[in-house]
Amino acid sequence: MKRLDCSEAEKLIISDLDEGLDPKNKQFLESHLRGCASCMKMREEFRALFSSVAADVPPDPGEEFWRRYDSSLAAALREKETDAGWWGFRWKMVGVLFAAVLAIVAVFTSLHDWERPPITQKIAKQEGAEKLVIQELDDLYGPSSEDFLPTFQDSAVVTEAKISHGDDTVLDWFEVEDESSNLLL
Amino acid sequence: MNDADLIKEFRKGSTEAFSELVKKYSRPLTMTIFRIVRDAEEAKDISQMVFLKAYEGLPRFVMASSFKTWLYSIALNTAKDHLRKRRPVQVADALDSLVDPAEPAGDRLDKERNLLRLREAIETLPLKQRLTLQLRIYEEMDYEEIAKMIGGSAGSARVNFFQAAKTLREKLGSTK
Repeated sequence: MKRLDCSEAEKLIISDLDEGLDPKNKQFLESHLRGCASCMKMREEFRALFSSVAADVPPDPGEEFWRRYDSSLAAALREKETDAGWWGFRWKMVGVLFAAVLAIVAVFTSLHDWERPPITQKIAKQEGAEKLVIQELDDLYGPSSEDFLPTFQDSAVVTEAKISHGDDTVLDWFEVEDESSNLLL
Repeated sequence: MNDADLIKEFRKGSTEAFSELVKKYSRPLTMTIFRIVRDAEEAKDISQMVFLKAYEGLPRFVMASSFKTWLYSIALNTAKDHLRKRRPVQVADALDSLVDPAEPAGDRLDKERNLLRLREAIETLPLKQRLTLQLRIYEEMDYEEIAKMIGGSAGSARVNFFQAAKTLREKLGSTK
């Protein structure tokens, strides 16, 4: 049987006092201790050390301490709950506002007449561009747009209409019409 | 209701469920911290901080470990941070409660001196060794539990305990 040296014995002593040893190792250690006074002394020192550590336990701080503990923790948790509630409410409000903005954008987008092709496309593909522009204006403002016909037939207006898109044509047309009127005066 | 049920209830919005968890663990947890930091007021502050962290973290807790292990690991990490930052502790605090005043003066002095030396020696241990020793002796936790709480393996926790015991014996023996 292999002999145990003192450093191995130290490990076994600590293990024995801590968790206990299996029978084989216990027998191995005991046979070493029988012939080694310094390891025997070491075991007593470790035993005393562990019992001193175990005995040095602070006492319960008392009921007054626990009352203070419970009340201050309850207050801190209430504060946390309130904070969580407030932040939850704020996030909900942000969500509601965001949804409202999305709804408004969706409504306005759906009102846009996507079916009507931009007037510039019509002008590019078809003959009689001026008539198309006039027809477009009639759709928007009714037959009164004919009142502006002489000015509108100016080629500058048609050019302006060509570079415009959709409803913007109306604004561009009026700007050009005003300038034409000034020229006529 | 067990811990898992209380956690489910808390996640549904029941603050009473969290209060139940606090009621169940606040005293043992605070006492564990108290035995480690050896100051009741500091233990109270750390313990309350742990419950506030748990309150915030519980919705994300994945239940890979038990609630107790998770809570204690928060506590031990918080205690470790606290011990790293604080000034060297007054190891003589609360000696009166551990030394019997009826004992002969000479015996009492010896006992006090030995306790002070022991506490000072424990204070100087590396934090992991110190915590392992304290959890093993005061809380009687097994090495698997200790490893889960302070990190590492059960084997490394055993090594930490062995090193702590060896260092303490050397320190206490060398000043005799």
